[in-house]
Amino acid sequence: MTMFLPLSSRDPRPLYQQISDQVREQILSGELQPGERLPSIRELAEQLTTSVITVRRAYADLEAEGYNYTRAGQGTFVSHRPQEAIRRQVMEDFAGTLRDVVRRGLARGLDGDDIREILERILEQGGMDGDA
Amino acid sequence: MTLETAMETGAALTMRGVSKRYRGSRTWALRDLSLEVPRGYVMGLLGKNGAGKTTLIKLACGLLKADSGDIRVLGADPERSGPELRRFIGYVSEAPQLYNNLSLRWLAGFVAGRFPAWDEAYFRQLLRRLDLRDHLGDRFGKLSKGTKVKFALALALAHRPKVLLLDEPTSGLDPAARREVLSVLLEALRDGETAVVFSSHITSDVEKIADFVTIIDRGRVLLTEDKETLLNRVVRAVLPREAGEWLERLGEEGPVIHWQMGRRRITALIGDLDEFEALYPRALPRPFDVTRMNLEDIFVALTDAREE
Amino acid sequence: MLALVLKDLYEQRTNILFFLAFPALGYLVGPPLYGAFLILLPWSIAIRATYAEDRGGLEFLCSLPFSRNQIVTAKFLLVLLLLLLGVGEVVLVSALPPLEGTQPVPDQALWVMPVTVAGFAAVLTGAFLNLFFRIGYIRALNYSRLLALLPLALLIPQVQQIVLKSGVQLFLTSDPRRLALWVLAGSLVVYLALLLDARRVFGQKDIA
Repeated sequence: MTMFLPLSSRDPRPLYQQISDQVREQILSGELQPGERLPSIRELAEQLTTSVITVRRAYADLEAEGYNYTRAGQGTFVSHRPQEAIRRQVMEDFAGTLRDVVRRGLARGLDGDDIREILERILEQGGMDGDA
Repeated sequence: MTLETAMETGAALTMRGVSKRYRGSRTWALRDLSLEVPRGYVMGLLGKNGAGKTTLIKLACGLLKADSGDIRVLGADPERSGPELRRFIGYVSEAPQLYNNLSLRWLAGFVAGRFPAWDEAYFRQLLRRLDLRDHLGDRFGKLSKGTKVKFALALALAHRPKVLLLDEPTSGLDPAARREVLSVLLEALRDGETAVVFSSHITSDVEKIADFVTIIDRGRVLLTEDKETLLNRVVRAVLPREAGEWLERLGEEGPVIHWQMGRRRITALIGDLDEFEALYPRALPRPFDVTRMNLEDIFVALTDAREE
Repeated sequence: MLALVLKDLYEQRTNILFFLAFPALGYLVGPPLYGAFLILLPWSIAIRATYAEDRGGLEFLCSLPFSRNQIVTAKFLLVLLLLLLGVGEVVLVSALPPLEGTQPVPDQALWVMPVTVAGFAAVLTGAFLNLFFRIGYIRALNYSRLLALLPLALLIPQVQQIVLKSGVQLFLTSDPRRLALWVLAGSLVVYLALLLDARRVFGQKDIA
């Protein structure tokens, strides 16, 4: 099977994370169904013209998070996971991302109130770009 | 150990303590070099001009004789195992020069006759993908530099080698051809058995398809490890000014390659993030900001750091 | 190994055909051209073929499943083959009835002159090939050019006298056939020694 996972060298995320993020997104959104077979590591590396070790790392990360599992000799498959677990995972991922951002803000001298204020404003705008 | 049994067990390429000095030269082309390339993976060799990349590749192909150290290709010594080992090696030199008077068709027939495993259908496919079909009747001397490289690559791949030794296979190619070459190489890896060793000064090509990276500088290995670990290990960090005194004490042997005190903060190049985090004193303010770098930045940082 | 010889024959096909046309010319103007032809043919082809090797061919061959010994031996075989071809052609042309006004071939067995010259040509070209595998194309060419200057020594009167005297004496006192065979045998021994030495040196060499 062919997966469309565009990779960008401009993206600050490392390549393996670009891959795992997009596969995770496809699983969480239901684009990839539980039980579905993912391309093998070498197949995907070839499709994306990227190194085997990069795809291996992406698959390993996804597997550690429980998104997929590997059966020796058969391939890698999307896990069956209850909706609740998926939602928890989404929240956890989001918290992780937010933690990085908050840390960056703190390092640059913002305090809790500043950050809360910014967050409120972003939520009010429904996550769209601001008035700038 | 016979060639056959050695070839079933050995890594694609192993070098241990290899040194090489050319006749009449006073400097070492390679000094005490060790690395290993497992089967099924791509090793990218990075280094400035004259760092020793070509020497390394030629040693692996048996073109050069090492002064000391041990070299194994598929478990066999390329210097002593005779021509049979080279049936399993595909080699492309930096600027391939075959015979100017001979047509590509004739050369292909000549090479095909040397390899029992020559795959004619695959060769045709390579000619098509690398835009070589219209050149088959041309004499080799008529080809452009890039076309010569692509043709040599097709010859090296069509006998389905277990080890590909490629010296700058993508330099001199246009972006479309480069992409096609990289994709052809990855396709050759599909069987999980074939290994590629390629040198390049185009760091983005190495970053794209290499599983392992070896950086060579003036004949010595600065590092050899898997690419993802490397990209996570060497980072740029912004540290609070208070860390200056500690960095001073840490000295050159520590995980910090280079650092500079700014007006309000310190910018540091960290060679080993894990080690750095473990050593970072609790008393100093946290957190600090860390940015990943691309392979080119890492390469420049490491080779420059060594010059100082 | 045969593949290597064929490769050179095919690569040098136009040059070889060019030189093989010489004896026909010799037939028109007289036999002295035959001698020059038998030296020029292997010498020129060896130089052209090694030039192609020097430009990158050698590195290419050494990366293929050929042994170093095969590569060296094939070049020496090529030269022998060319000499055989040349001698054969000269003998054949000499056997034709001479044209009017040209010098007839001296009254001796037709193969005596070609075989003697071929022996010298083999040693000369073998020395060049040996140097090529030892020290590379450019330096080999320079050194063997010096070798080709040797006949100029004949311009020195003393040398001339000695050579002429001993040469004439040799021809007068001995059977030219036997002499030709001795020259041939001696040349082949030297040629073989040059080949073996080239193999030994080239086997240990770096292809840089």
